[in-house]
Parts: sequence; structure tokens; C-alpha cells
Amino acid sequence: MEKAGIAGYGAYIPRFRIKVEEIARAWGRDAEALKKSLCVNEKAVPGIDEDTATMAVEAGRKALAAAGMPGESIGALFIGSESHPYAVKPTATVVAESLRLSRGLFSADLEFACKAGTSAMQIVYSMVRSGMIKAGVAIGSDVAQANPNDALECTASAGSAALVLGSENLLAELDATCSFATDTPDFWRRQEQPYPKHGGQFTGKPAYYRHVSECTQRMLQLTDSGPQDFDHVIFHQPNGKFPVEAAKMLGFTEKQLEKGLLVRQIGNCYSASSLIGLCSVLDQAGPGERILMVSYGSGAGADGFAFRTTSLLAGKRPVPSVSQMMSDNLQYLKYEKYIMNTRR
Amino acid sequence: MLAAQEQQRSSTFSEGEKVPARTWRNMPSFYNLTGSRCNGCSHLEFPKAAACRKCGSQDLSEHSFSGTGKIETYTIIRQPFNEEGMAEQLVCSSPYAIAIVRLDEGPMITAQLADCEAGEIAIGKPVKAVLRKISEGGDDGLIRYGYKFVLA
Repeated sequence: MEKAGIAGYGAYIPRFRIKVEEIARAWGRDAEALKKSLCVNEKAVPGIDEDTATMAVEAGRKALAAAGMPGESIGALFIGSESHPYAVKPTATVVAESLRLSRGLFSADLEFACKAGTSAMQIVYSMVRSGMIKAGVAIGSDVAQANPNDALECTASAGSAALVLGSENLLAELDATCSFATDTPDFWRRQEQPYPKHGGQFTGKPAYYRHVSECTQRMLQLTDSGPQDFDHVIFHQPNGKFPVEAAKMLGFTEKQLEKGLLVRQIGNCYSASSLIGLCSVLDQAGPGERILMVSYGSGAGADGFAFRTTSLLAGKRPVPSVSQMMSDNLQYLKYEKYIMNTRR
Repeated sequence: MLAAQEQQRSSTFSEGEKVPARTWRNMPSFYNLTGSRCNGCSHLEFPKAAACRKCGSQDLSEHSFSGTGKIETYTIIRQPFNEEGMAEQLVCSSPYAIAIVRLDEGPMITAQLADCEAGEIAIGKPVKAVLRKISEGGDDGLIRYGYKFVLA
């Protein structure tokens, strides 16, 4: 079996932001109470003409350029999202055409709430390891929807991340991956409904915490490691509280978590959330460092990945970096403009 | 376009088929700025030409532009245009900026400047092409994607 891992990565975060204070102002709510309960200060908002496909193209172009690979060398493209622009007609073909990927492409759109991007990684990874393809692209991309005046409106954001997975010129090797899933009804959106519903408090203990911790423990067993053996850890970030609590529960330190914890400034980019965290860690990690990533998707499941960076990482970093996209050229929107941009 | 060709095309496609057909035909130029390069004199053109504007040669090959360039000139449009009954609704809100961009490879291209406010735009500023939604025919229509430019 082939060795496999990350040959290139790229993240995209739109330049627009809205502060929790501005959302609270529009609805006459207590901003400080919202910020305290969610541990989120502001979130990324798409441009009026951006969607899951356009953001996936931005991230995909960056990842291919960082990998130094032409589109024709890519044998598979899987895109995870819960906001695919069409109910029927693939996001993957729009993105493949824009990235000029090979015509013999294995491709499909995936949905598994916030973890569909990591499901895409597992599919592409197994295709590379089986020798079916030399390299493939996995993307998590979302323009998250939230019912106006729901607490979710303060976190549901927009972003995209793409990974080129292959077996050569790896900037990080993928040592192991596993999943944990059960039927847990914490969050859902029915067909043709614009906004999701959720189980409030129920989204915590039986949903997020259970699946993330089961998956993390399986990863530690699988890699014969303890929490202290990893340099960095990334958990799915639906708000600023859950990943911090999960890290504490599972024996990871704040220092291991900090480089990939972005939710306070960009919100929850759903399928792109843990992946943008991973991109941020890769932007900053040294060679030979170990990274644990555990995603979470409502409904419910978690995917775990253990990476080991290589000496090639420093030479394959995309520009702008995640931290540049979080600090440069930001434009803060009023609530009215935010509604125009996110109306679908 | 020759009248005969246009007539042939309209008889091939019904009204309802025109948008998908046109969208599909334009994808290389709309998605990847694919124009043409003259194999005789190396002249580059966007959009794709049938014959070289410089030397007249019909021996052309496809050339995709890098998408980087500078603002040659621009205008701010304050008139909202998504009137009721328009077949294809453009995805943007007024005011919006339209620029003539000079690509680094030479040709000029007219396109919307996305993600920016009037005060940020200036002649000579560097820009880069991005893929954005151009139009959508209401809630049930086809989404057309294509190039716009953002400040680099």
C-alpha cells in the first residue's frame, strides 16, 4: 500500500466580517451575554456573489499552486458542504472545470453536516493508498445558514479549505484516520428549508462531546500515542467553548490547541471549520511535528486524522496565509448589508 | 456573428435552451480567462478570436491568461438593475464598479470589481481575477459563474 498525505493545501476566508455586537444591536439582544455564552466575537461573511462553489475554487487554486501540481494530474475531487448551490447539479463539476482537472475524474458532492469535508479527505486518501489515483483533491466549503435571531446567527459563517492528497512530495504524512458515528439528532435541515434547527443544549454532551472524544480516543489507540505526543490538536469549532472544553476533557493543553483555534474571529465555517484550522497549523508548524485533527458533523459523527509534517512544509506554504486572511483588508458590515450578502 | 449563423443557432435552440447552451459555450473564457494566441505573430487576445487582429492569421491556439492586471479605468454604477421581468438576474447590489483591466499579458478586459467600495478603487491599482456568481435566473434558474476582479 502506498504512503499518502498532504501534497498541498489552501484556505479561503472572505474579507467581510460582522461583529456579534452588530447582530445583537439589530435584534435588541445583550451582546456581552451572547459573546460570553458562545465565546465568539465576530464571523466571516461571504460577498453577495460568493457561494460554496466559488470559495471552493479559490481554496482549490491555492492548494494546487502550493502543491506545484497541474490540474490534469488530479484524479479525484470530492467536495463536502451543507450549502451546495444546487439540490441537483454537482458543485464538483463547476470546481473541476475551474481548476482544469482531468476529464477522467472521480468526483461527487458530499453532505454530512460539518464533517463532509473530512469525509472527502478519507475517500481521496483511500483512493491514493489503493493506487487507484496518484493524487486527488478534498474540499470542505460552506456558506452557513442560520435563522435570523437564532443564537446560531452569531456563529454560522463562510469559508473553504482544500487539500491535495497524494503519495509524493508530501508536506505532511497522514499516519492514520478513523471515524465514529451514531444516529444522534442534534441538528438538522429538511429538504427545501432555508434554515437548520437544532436541539439547543442537546448539541453538547450526547452529540459533540461524545463523538469528538470517542473518535479522539480511537485515534490515540490507533497511533499508540497519548495527548502529550502531539504538537498540535484541532477540533471542529461550532463555537469558542466546545473545542476548548473537549481539549481539556481529553488531556490536551491550550498551547496544543491555539494555532488552529480560529472560531472567535471567523465563526463556524461548517465543513471548512476544522480544515481551515488545519491550514492555520500547517502555516506555522515546523518539520517533524505531529498534528491531530478531529472533525464533527451533526447527526452525528467525527473523523480523526494524525499527521506528521515533513521538511518540505516550509517551502509549500500558500499566500495569503490564514492569519493574513484574518487580519488584512477586513471589511465590517452593518446588519442590513450582511442580510443582503447572505440572502439565498 | 454572421446573420446566417445566428439564425441557424436560434433554430437549433429553443428559448429555454439558450441560457444553458450559452453558459456552457462560454465556460472556458468565463472560468479560466481562455483567449487566443496567434501562432504566427504571438499576439494575445481575449476573448478568443477567429482570426488574429494584428496579422490576420487564422492559425491560433488557446491561451489562458494569468488573471493579474491593473485598473486602466473604471466607473461606479449607482442604478439598481434587477428589474422585475429580467430573464437573468445579475448577482450584485448597487453601487457597483465596472473596470477596464489591463491584463499583465497585454489585452484589456471589461469586468465588475467585486468586494470593494468606491473609495478603495483607483486607476493603476493591481487586481486579480476570481470566480464569482454572475447571474442566476431567479430561485430555480441556472447559476452562471464567471470572472470578476478584486483588488490584489
